[in-house]
Amino acid sequence: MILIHIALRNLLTHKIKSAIVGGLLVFAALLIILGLSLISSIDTSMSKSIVNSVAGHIQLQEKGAKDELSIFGQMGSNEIGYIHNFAEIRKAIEALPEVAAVVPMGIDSSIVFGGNVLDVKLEALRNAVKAGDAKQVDIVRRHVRRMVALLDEELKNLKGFSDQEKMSDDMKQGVIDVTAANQPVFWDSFDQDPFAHLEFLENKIAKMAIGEDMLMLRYVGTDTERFRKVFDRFEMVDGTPIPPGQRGFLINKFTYEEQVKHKTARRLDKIKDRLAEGAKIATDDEIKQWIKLNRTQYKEITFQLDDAATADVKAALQDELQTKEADMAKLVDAFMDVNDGNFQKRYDLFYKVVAPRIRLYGIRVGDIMTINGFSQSGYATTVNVKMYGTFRFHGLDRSTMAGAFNVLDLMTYRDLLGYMTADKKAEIAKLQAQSGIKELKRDTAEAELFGDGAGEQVEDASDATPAQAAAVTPTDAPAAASPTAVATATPGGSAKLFAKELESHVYSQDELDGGVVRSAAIMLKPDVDLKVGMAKVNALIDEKKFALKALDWRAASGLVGNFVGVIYAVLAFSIFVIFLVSLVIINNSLVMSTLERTREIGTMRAIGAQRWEILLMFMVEAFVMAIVFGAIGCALGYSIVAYFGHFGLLANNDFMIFLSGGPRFYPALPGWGLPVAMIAVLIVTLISTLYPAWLAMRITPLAAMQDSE
Amino acid sequence: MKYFLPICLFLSALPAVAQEAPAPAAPDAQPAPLNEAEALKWIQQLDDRQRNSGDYRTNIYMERKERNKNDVVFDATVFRRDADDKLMILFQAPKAEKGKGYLRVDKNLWMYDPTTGKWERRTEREKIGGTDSRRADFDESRLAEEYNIKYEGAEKLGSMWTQKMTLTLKKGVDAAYAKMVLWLSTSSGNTLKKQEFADSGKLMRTTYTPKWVKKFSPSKKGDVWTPKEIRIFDEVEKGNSTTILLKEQDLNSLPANLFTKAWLESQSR
Repeated sequence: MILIHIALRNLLTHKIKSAIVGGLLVFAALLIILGLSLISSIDTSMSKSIVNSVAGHIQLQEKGAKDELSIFGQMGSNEIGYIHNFAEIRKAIEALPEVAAVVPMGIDSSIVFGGNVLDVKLEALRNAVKAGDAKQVDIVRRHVRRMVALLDEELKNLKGFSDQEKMSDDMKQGVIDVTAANQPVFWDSFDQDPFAHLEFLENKIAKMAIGEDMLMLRYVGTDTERFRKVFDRFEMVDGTPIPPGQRGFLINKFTYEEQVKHKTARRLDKIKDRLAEGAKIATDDEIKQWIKLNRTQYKEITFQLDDAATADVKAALQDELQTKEADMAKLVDAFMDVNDGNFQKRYDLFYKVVAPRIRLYGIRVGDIMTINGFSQSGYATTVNVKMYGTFRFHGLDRSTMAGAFNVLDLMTYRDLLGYMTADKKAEIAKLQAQSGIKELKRDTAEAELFGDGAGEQVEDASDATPAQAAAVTPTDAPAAASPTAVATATPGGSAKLFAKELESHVYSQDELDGGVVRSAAIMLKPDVDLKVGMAKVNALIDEKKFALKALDWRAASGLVGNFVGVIYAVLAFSIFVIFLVSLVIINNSLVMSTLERTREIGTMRAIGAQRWEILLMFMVEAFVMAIVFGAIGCALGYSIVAYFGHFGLLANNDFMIFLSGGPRFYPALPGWGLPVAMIAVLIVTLISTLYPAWLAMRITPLAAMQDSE
Repeated sequence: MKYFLPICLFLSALPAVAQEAPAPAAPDAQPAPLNEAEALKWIQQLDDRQRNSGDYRTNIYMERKERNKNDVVFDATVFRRDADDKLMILFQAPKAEKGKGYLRVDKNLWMYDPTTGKWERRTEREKIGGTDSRRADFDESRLAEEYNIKYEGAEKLGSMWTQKMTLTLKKGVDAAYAKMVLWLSTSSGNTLKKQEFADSGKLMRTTYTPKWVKKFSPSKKGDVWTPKEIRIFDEVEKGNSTTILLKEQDLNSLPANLFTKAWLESQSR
């Protein structure tokens, strides 16, 4: 007890030393507490973000595959291998008591070409003509005619400003063609030969219109019903889930708003959001840029308005702008020139008057969308699939990383993958055998083709009569269709009917599980530890000799999953440096203090204090310092964590939203955090005290007396 | 009697052709250097020999090999109407690809997929069927029209002497590659080797055409030359290559409405 008393007295006597050492200990304890809470919270929230959205606790991939699965890093199929016996694997793994579900997967990207605005409208007109729907033909034709008129007007304005001599021949011809298509005679004769008119419009006119929209979609090909049930962050926003066993596509709401929505409308939304955050149009350069784009890209609106819609929108804009201006381009330009005073009114007017009359989303719920993928062999594959609705991962609405994942049914995914079935392989092998081609290597090709004994070969086929050529034409080569046959051909056909049938076909669970998948997500039961789950799964893989590799969610997530490890490393290094510095400073302070206390220690020794008692006195002093200042640091750290744990920290960018598992980050200190921080501070303090204590032990009464003299 | 007029026309055209044709030379003898005008004539002749004034049809076989991937193989039919700058490629096999096609009308390159019923615009850089081939590999040769020609000199290709020329794309022309180097046969004037470069100067493809076939065209009243075998090596993704065999050229007239979307669509019904 006396030692504690002396220790406290010393702390109070040597205030500067105590302040320096104590400050360091407080800082070290604070850093440990904040760091541990940060790591622990990120780990927990990231785990929720990743595990419950797309990854599951464990991912399976083919053992020995060239590339390791990387859910958030993988842009294409990569060489992650294939799982061929998914049905068997699923059955075996789901039999483990630790496992809740196994979900088949494949992650890939595809392109959806929107076509330019005129292309899209012409396609609608072609379909209406083929369907013989006179009413629809009339509606769409009038819209196309209006678009051609706008294009003609625009090109005439262009001609007025530019030197025609500088125009390319193609451009000059294009201008002439557009002018021709804008003549009444062209449209008056449309019904006489609609296909010829369509060919003219598609080939000569549409290329003069504004650029093509291209949408890049990243998707998870999966058993959509299982995916929806197993990943609890998944929730529908618009439309309906894909019916069980059917083909379909669900677009992530984030992607839907960012990429599929009409660009002008999207920019208005972004301005609204930015203003809600406190920004001002007058001072925000990015908002000014969005306004500028909305003004210059007026065609995004005017091209989409048919006659009736143009009249309605024109009247509303004239009323809002208090003008009699009739030029729609000028009206839209003026309408989009918003400021802090009129923005909300014009935003509301846009959604009330303009939005219902334009195609607000390039793909709408219920649309059949055509997606283009690149098969594993590298060639393009295209499929039609119905868009059933939009969804989001709860709490990750604004995260680009989670928002980039869309959902595609497994059967369509397999079609896009172009996986070589045995039948396909056999067919290819037969074609190759028939060709008789000898494979040449790049390095030796030139020598083999043009080296000694080889050379150019010229064959004269003039003797082969057309009949001979025809004789070797494949029997299913195209037949020469007569113009009449083409014009009267009924819409739809075997390929199209097949596609239609696929749309409503319900696949059995055996069919879904029976085909190839690229990976599989394992969701563990709620209270199962990840390490235990991994061990059980790996044991089963070994036992059943499955050609599989199991990755925990961190490893399967790629760089994102390793982020916690990086934070750990950075924090550990910071703490190490802080402790090293503390160690040196505490040590020096105590050495100085020891030297100052030589007389006191010598006196203690003179009155009978043993060396071990001196050592103990120093240790107790260090212990008291560690406890007092460590506790202060821990209390301070705990208070900060508790404050932000209650109010949250705003996740101000996409990555932070993903790490936080939501728009705000709520740090929390794990139960073991405080003891760990206190023990760490204590150990460092005691180590720092060893040398000064050793010095003190060596002080003799004689030395103390000499010191006093 | 009915052949009299065509024969007369053919004979009257011969001196003109003979005048512009490269002087035949033995492939093992070093040829005389060309001046710029002569080099241009070689290229013009190259274009002219491959052009048909009427229609053209050929069946092709394409095989793409890519490292660590399954081979991609197609049977297809190529249709051309050079006078109208029209081209169509209709896939015949394998079954999964049957009915797909490309249609070039004016400067538009369309791709059609019967399973989706959709037409999509594609660019000059489109890899036909995902192979290393481009639209221009199957279309009428328009090198003199689209490129500026520079003569590089005589050079040996294997054991054969060739005339080497560099062609750079003219301003305003859209083509897959900005520059190409050709090695032309001194005996036939045909292209034996071609290297194509991106805008950056990076070598993209090397193509060999060791086999050529000529066929008399009544409409042209002259031979139409076509490569019979094309070997394309991808110089960016080393190890990838495409081989194309062109078979059974037919120079008879094709139906008037063949180069239309409607016709191509009708083939998959």
